[in-house]
Amino acid sequence: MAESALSGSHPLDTMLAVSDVIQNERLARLYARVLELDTPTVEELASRSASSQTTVYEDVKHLVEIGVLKRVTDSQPHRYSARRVDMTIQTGEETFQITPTLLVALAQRDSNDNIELYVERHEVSGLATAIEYARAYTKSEMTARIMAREQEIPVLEAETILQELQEILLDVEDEISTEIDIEALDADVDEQIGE
Amino acid sequence: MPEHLFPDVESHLIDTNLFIRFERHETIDLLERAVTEHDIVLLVPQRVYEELTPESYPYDQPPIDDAIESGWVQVLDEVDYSNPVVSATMDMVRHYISAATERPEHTIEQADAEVGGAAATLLEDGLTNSIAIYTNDRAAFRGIERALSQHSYENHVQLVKAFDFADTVENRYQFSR
Repeated sequence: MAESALSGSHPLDTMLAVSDVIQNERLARLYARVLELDTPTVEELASRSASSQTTVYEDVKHLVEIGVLKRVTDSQPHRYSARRVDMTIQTGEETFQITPTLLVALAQRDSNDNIELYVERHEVSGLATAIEYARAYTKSEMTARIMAREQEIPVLEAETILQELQEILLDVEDEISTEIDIEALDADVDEQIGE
Repeated sequence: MPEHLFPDVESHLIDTNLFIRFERHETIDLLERAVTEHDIVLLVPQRVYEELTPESYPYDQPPIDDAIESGWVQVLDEVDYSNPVVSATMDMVRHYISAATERPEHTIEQADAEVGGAAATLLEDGLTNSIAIYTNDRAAFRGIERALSQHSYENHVQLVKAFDFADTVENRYQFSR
């Protein structure tokens, strides 16, 4: 079951579109570059890509057709923006979130050994779960030790992936903050220990 | 960039996340230079050493043993759990981790608070009078700070934010190899 989506699309269509990007690293990298460059042209995208301009053009066209990218100009040269993917997939007892951060993390697989190894060991679903831990970690609401216990992995592996993903999160999710409210935390602890 | 890279304290205690941060950026050599240039030895709680050297691990392990052999990192003796100040500090840290992560306190292990336990042990054993703790675990640090201040160690510990510190070391040393 998939809920919430690219604005205006049927969740099933979104799911199919996004799974295309998840399975194709070249498309994931293209999506990540569009996010990074804000509203680039095909030429700008191609200048930063190992693929030919024709391939980039075809890929952009495909991503627009499936609704992951959006054309934002009326005349040539066209500019494209990335839609903010936000899906929740529920399978039995587990839920997974598909977010721009996941797609960007997947796009970095071939340049980041730690992410590549994590996906090899824990699949894309494991990476999606790690991103949720990393979002909490970035807000000082999670530690590698707790993640390690809950996911049954070594602390070293948990800390490493949390740090890698935090760097991506801070880049992709503008609204996330590393600030911690010490006073609120003190108050929570006071309540806990009955002071 | 602050004038002083390291705070003016007697002891420098590091958490797992600090060493991993440098390892990920392949800048352990820069950390080594910064530490040795300042005649500092980084202290590592046993638990942190164990976390950095898991028995079965498919990836490269951080070069903590090389650092110990070279003398700029030192593993601490066991935490003195029987000392009441040490155990009170660790309990307080567990309260803070539990509150920050919204996990029930019984799921937070004593070992999760070992950096705090190590700091309290150093102070209680009279081995040091001032400690900088290098970590990005803000909640745990707050617990350490609060517990120690309740046991007449106010202002004896200070936080060095691990990632900010790492950025500073990298910026200062990367072009002066």
